[in-house]
Amino acid sequence: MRLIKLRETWILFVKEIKDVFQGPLIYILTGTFCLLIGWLFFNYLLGAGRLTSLNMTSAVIVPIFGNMNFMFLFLAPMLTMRLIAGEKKAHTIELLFISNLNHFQIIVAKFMASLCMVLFMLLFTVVFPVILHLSGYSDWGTVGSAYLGMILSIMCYLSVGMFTSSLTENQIVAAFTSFGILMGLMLLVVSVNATNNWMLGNIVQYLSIPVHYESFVRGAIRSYDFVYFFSFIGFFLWLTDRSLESRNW
Amino acid sequence: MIKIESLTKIWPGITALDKVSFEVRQGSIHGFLGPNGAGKSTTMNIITGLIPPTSGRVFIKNHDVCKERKSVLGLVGFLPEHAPLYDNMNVLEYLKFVASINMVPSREIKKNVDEIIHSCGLLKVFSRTIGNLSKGFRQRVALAQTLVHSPELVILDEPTVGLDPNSVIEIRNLIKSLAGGRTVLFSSHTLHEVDLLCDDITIIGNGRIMRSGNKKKIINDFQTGQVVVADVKKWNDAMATEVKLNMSVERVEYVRKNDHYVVKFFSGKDVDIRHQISKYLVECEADLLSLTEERPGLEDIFQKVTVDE
Ligand SMILES: Nc1ncnc2c1ncn2[C@@H]1O[C@H](COP(=O)(O)OP(=O)(O)OP(=O)(O)O)[C@@H](O)[C@H]1O
Ligand SMILES: [Mg+2]
Repeated sequence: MRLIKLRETWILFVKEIKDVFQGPLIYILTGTFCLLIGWLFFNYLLGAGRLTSLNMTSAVIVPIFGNMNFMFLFLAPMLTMRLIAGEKKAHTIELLFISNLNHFQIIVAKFMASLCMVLFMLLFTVVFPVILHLSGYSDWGTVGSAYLGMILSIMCYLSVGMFTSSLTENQIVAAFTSFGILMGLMLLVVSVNATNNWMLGNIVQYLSIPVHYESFVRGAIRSYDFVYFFSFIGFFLWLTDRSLESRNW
Repeated sequence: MIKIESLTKIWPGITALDKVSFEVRQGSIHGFLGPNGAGKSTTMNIITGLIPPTSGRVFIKNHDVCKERKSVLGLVGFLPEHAPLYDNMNVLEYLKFVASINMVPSREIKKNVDEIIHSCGLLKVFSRTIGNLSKGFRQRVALAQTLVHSPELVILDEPTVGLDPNSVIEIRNLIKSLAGGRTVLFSSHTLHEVDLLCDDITIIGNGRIMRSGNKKKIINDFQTGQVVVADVKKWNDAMATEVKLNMSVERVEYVRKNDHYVVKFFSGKDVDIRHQISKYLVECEADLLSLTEERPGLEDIFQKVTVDE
C-alpha cells in the first residue's frame, strides 16, 4: 500500500518535471541567472585581489551566495507560479482531485519538482568553486554549508510560492503575491533596526529568513536554524493544503 | 447506486441547489436535464466530491461521499464540464497518466488504454498532442479519460457537446454499451438524445428537482387526454363546431399548410377518439390524408416543467 502511494506521487512528479523541461521558461530563467551570477562572480573575483583562502571566503563566497539567494527571491515565484494556478486554469486540477492522489501527495510531488528546477539552475554555479579550487581555494566546508543554507532558504521561497499558486488561477497574480510575501519577510529584518525593543527585535530576527541563512554562509550550522527552515516550509505547505481543501470553485 | 438526500449548495448570494433529493438506480442510464444555470454541474461536482455541499448528503453505494472519500474514489469516472486535459501531452501519454494516478496496476494500463482508444475512436489521433486536437476529439479524449480505470459509475457533464452528428451517434452508442454493467449519470441539453438513451430522468430547474424517476412514467403522467392530428383537404369552422358538439373533443385547432389543413383535436378525457374522428372525416368527405396520435415528448415536458412551474 505504501509503495503504491509512492508510485502515484512519483508519476505526478515525473509529469511536472516533463512539463517544466519541455517548456522554454526554465531555460530562459537559467540562462539569465547564469549570465548575471557569472558576471557578478567575475567582478568579485577581480575585487578580491590577493587570492588567499581567508580573503576569498569573505570577498567572494559570502557575497556571491548572498546574491544568488537574493536572485531566487525573484526566480522562485516564477518557478512555482504555474504549479497549481496553471492546473486550476486548465481545470486539470479536478482530474487530480478525483484521482487516487490525496492533497499531501499532490503538494509533495509539485514541491519536489520545483526543488529539482532549482537544483538544475544551481548545477551551473558549481563551476565557481571549481574555478576557486584551481586558484588554490580549499575551504570546502564553508562552500558546502553555504549551498545547504541557500537551498534551504530557497525551499522556503518555494513553499511560499506553492501557497500563493494555490490561491488563484492567475499565474501572474500568484508570482507577485509570493514575491510580495517574501519581500515583506526580508524587510522585517530592516525594520528591526528601526525598533529599539530588544524582545521584539529578537523575535522578528528569528522570523526572518536571511538571518538564518547567513549563519550557514558563515559556515555555522546550528540546529535551531534547521528547526526554523523546516517549520517555515511545513507551515506554508500546510497552508497550501488548507487552501486546496477549502476550494470553492 | 447514487442516493442524494436534501442536498443544498449556497454560493455567496445565490442558492444553486435547494434541498435536492433523487436516486440513480444501479445499472441504469440516468439523464439529468435542466436549463442553463439550473445546478446540474454543481450537483455533479458535489457527487464526485470536488466541491463540498452546504448541507445534505450524497451516498455512492452506501458510502457517504464527504466522509468516506477513500472508499468511493476508484468507483467513479467523471467528465467535468470543462474537459480536464493537459495540452502538452499526447493522447496516449495522457490516458496512461490518468490510468496510473487512478490505481490501475502497471500491467493492466496498456491493455486498458488500448481498449479505450479503440472504443472512443481515438485510433487516428493517439500519438498527437492534445493541444492541437479539434474540439470534438478533445471531448472524446476527455470521455476516454473517464473510462480508463473501468469505474462502476460514470458521470458525464454534457458529453456530446461540440461533436459532429456522426460522432454524436458513436458516443451515444458508447454510452449505451456501458449500460448494464455500469451506471451512467449524464447531463445533456439534447432532449432527443436523452430520450434515446435513458431509462430514468431527473429534471432540475432553479436548483430544485422538478421531476425524477422512470422516463415512461413521467411522460405518462403528463398526458392529459389524447391529441389527434389529421391532415385534410377541406376544413372550416362549422365542421369544428360540429365535432365539438358530437364527440368528446374539447378543443380544435387548425392551420393551413400548403394545399391542406393540419387539424388538431384535443380530447379532455382519457378516451381514444381516433376512431370517431376518422369516421367523421370520411363521412363528411374532408379528404383525409393522414391521421396520427400526438404523444407529448420530452420537449413538451421539459418546457412545461421548467418554464411554467
Ligand atoms: N464557483 C461558483 N461561484 C458562484 N456561483 C456559482 C459557482 N459555480 C456555479 N455557480 C452558480 O450556480 C448556479 C448553477 O450553476 P451550474 O453550473 O450548476 O448550472 P448548470 O445547470 O450546469 O448550467 P449549464 O447548463 O449552463 O451548464 C448558477 O447560477 C451559477 O451561477
Ligand atoms: Mg453545466
